[in-house]
Amino acid sequence: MLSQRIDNFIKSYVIVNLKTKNYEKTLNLLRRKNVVMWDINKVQDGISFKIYKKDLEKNKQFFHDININPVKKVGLMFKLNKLYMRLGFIAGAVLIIIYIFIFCSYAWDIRLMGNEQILETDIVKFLSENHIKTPIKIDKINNKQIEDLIYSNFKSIKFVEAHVEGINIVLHIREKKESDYIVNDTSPSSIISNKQAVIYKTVVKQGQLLVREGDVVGKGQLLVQGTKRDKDNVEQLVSSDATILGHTYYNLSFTEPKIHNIKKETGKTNNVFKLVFKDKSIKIFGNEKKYKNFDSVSKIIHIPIITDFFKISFEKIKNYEVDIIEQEISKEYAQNKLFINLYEKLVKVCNKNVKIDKKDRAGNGKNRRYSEFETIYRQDN
Amino acid sequence: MDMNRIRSKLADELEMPDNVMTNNFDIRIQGNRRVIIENHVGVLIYEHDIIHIKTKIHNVIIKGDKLKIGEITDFYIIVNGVINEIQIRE
Repeated sequence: MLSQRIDNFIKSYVIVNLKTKNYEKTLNLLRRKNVVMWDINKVQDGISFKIYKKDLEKNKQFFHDININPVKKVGLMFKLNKLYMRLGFIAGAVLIIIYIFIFCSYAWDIRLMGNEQILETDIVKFLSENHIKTPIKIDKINNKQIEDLIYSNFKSIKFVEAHVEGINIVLHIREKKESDYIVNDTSPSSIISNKQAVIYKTVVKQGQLLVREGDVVGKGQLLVQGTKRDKDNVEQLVSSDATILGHTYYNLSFTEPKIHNIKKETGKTNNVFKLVFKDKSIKIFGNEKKYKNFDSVSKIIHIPIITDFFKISFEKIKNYEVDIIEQEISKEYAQNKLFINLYEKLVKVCNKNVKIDKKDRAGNGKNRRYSEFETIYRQDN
Repeated sequence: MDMNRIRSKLADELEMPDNVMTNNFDIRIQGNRRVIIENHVGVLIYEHDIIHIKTKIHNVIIKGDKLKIGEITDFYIIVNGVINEIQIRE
């Protein structure tokens, strides 16, 4: 019976109700017209039965005359008819299939792994000059050719492996590392101070020391002169080699307002969608000025193929409504914040050869100023 | 002897199915659940407890409970249900 049901489903059928007392007559009439009927059920004021779609269409006028209308339509033909009516849906489905097919058959990006010195943009540019640029058909990618090209052009690369991973070309690279070595410059030279400092330690290996411990030196002042007297008391030019240590004192002061404006989210959000074409954006929907005070988070949505070919993308902006509340901060909080800010500033001011010796902070208790910062540097020249 | 009988006898002699050459109906009963009648002419009465089927020569009356016509075509009719009695009348 299952095969019969499948056959009926493929051929498609309709369930009709016949509301008349002489239903036997109608059954015989339909039988004479070679209409196949099945599942004939007796209902309250007539009968209901099933007939094939083709029979219904063949005897349409007859069914109309005796006032028989289909109650339910079942079958593949009706489903296909429905799909035929939904042309937009079918077109969308076909487009999606084509889109997926195209999307999967191209490599859309070149990714580099393991590079330190060589920039990714350099390699991508070089490959594009050699007609390997994205999007490229995956079938046309020759891994060996890419590897050979990179080997031949970038001498600092000792290993390269190219392969396709999904829709990306991935290049694994190992660079040649040159061992660090110190160049001993033996040309005559002197040492000068690059900051104002108080000298506290001097060690001279070569050259003539011009300052003493406790001296205050200014920026650019000569500390060690690159000369040396030989046996005959004749001055000769030499390369200076010395370590001069000095203290530099910085006084930095920052202020922190006593009252802070704190943003507190109300929980209300608003989405704004924009169409972005190159550098221009057009609002699609959403109200940008819905809230008086708000924070916003923006997210760019790239659509593969469309973004790559037409430079069109979407931007989703989520606005969070906030209430601005004035709040007085505690003294400890202000001190800690200032200390961190000042330390960061200090690190920026100093160069690599500097070591921070001592940090002092002192609060003076004034109304809007909580803390002052004083630090002492030790500077190696 | 009418023509139908002559044709029936001829069908027997030629070892052919009777209903091919004659106007006789063919009836098959599957237990008391199903009756298949071939060579019918039409339905005269269709109720839950009785179905009256006309053939070219005889009338077949099927009595039972929950009777239902399973399928009806120009050639055969299938009756399902609990069959208690089958009468054949001139």
